[in-house]
Amino acid sequence: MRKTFTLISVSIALSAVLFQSCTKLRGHYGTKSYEPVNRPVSPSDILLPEGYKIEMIASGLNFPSAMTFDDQGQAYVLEAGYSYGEIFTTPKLLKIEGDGKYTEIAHGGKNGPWTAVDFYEGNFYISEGGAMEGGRILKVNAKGEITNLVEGLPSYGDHHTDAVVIGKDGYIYFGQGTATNSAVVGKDNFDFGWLARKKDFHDIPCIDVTLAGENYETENVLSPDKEKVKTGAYVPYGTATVKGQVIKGSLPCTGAVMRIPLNGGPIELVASGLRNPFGLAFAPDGKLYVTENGLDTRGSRPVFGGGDYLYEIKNNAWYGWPDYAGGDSLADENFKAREIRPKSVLLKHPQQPPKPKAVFDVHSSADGFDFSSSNSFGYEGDAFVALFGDMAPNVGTVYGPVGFKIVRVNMKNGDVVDFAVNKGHKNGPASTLKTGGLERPIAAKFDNTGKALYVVDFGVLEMPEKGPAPKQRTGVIWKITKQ
Amino acid sequence: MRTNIYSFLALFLIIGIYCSSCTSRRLKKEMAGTEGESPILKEGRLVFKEKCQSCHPNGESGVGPEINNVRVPKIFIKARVRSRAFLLYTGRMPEFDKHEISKKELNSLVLYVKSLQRSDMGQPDKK
Repeated sequence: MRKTFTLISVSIALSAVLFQSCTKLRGHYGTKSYEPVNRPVSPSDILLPEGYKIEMIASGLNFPSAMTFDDQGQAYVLEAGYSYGEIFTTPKLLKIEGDGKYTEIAHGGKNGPWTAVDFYEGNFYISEGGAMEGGRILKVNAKGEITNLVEGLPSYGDHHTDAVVIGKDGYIYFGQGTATNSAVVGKDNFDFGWLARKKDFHDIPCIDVTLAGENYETENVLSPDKEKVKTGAYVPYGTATVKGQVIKGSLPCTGAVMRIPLNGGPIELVASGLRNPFGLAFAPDGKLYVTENGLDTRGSRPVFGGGDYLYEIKNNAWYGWPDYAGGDSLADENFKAREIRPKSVLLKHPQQPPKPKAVFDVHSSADGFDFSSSNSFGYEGDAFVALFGDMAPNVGTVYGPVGFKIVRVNMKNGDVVDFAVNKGHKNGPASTLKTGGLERPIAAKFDNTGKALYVVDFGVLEMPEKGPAPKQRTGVIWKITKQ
Repeated sequence: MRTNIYSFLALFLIIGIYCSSCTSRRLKKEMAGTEGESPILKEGRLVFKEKCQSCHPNGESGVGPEINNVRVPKIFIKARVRSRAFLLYTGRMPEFDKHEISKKELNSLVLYVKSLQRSDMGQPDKK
């Protein structure tokens, strides 16, 4: 009897040890340096579906973020001029000449990141993230002359002015990210760097909201005394709210898709209740879609398990942030983080939020995307989405790397499958797999013919203990074609 | 004596399961999506993508541990999907009742999860 008991005990202990060793949470990795590193590039380290080929067409780029093509099919790339880690460089619009040469068309100041670009009737339209001076939508002509079509967008926080795309209706559509993870300014925003710069900045609702009076207590990170302060939703750090308090909506707001006329003019609201609508693209059928970076497990109001999403944008719809994720209420047990279930910060919700068209992996950072419109490339009508890859452990813990690849969304049924992914038994960026494959894809864009899919790869960005460490001049452009 | 044999078997089974779970498997066939898939696997895949994918991408590790390498009987998977109590409430994985995943969908889901264990993703070139 005693022997049996001992055996069972040993087996439980052994299995516990083995289980723990197999399911270890991923911690910090990399070194705190922004210097360029030697990035090997090897297309054969990337797996594609049968019949597709990938090649590298440009390398050594500094934080590339987006691509576009002029009406002659000439390719252009944006260098963001900013990366998480609070690294500011010069944002640039570059013409890709081939043979490793680039011609600068335009450049900006210390107000990156330049997050996206679209070309329309002889001009480039660029969204300027606006970490220092607020977001802008820029119009750049062929001579490189820049006109601000709109400025002062609320981009000083966690997320910036996002994608820009020109509609057939003659409007410029753009996304605007939120200031915070879940509407409450906290220590995580101080750690990001912006709260010390912009002490009064907070989220701005697009429409009037009535608060539930939920407040969150932290040590005052802005005071040497570190006294306790309470902060509510949609108000500056250290400001408490009360039940029934109304925060007036105004434009421009955070967490929204907005639009302006092609030559500038008043901002109009298209959709609200988004968190970080990073990518925007029109499907071949003319419908507008957005990739949404979902909630993190961080800050005063952390949320567990919020995925990233692909939504169809419907006029004046509310998509649920800060009280819903993927159409589900955060009051659900599954979103509980640190043993606390996030309570609604809004007393009333404008509507039941729409469900997403597709769900991406939690923390994968679903970013720039485009639709296949050509039979010669295949998968006509499907969306190809760049998954930048997780920023864990700062955004929440993971057991293994998430993202770092291109996925295809079957728009008929929402099925998300890998399209371009690093080879091997484990997922992850090439630098951790020690291969020459994908690092951090940030945008996917078809050329004008629809026969080639270009992938903008931001480059190496590690997550050491002292915060994000992007390596300069490690960006790459990949080109995928069907053989 | 017989009890001891059973205990040894249990010990080897548990070690076997967990050792196998240390070797992740990735799926090249996953790139094809639902094209050419049987209706039951297609149903299982779509349930997986809606309910499971965000934490276990393609069965690999994400915010949840990898599940494409844990070789356990189907009944274990069903029990865990239905109830957190099955593993003594350990872990974060939610439970799904019949309203969220029907009995038919659960059968399809389990077949799909088992199918995730039968392929691989190729190896990078030797440098």
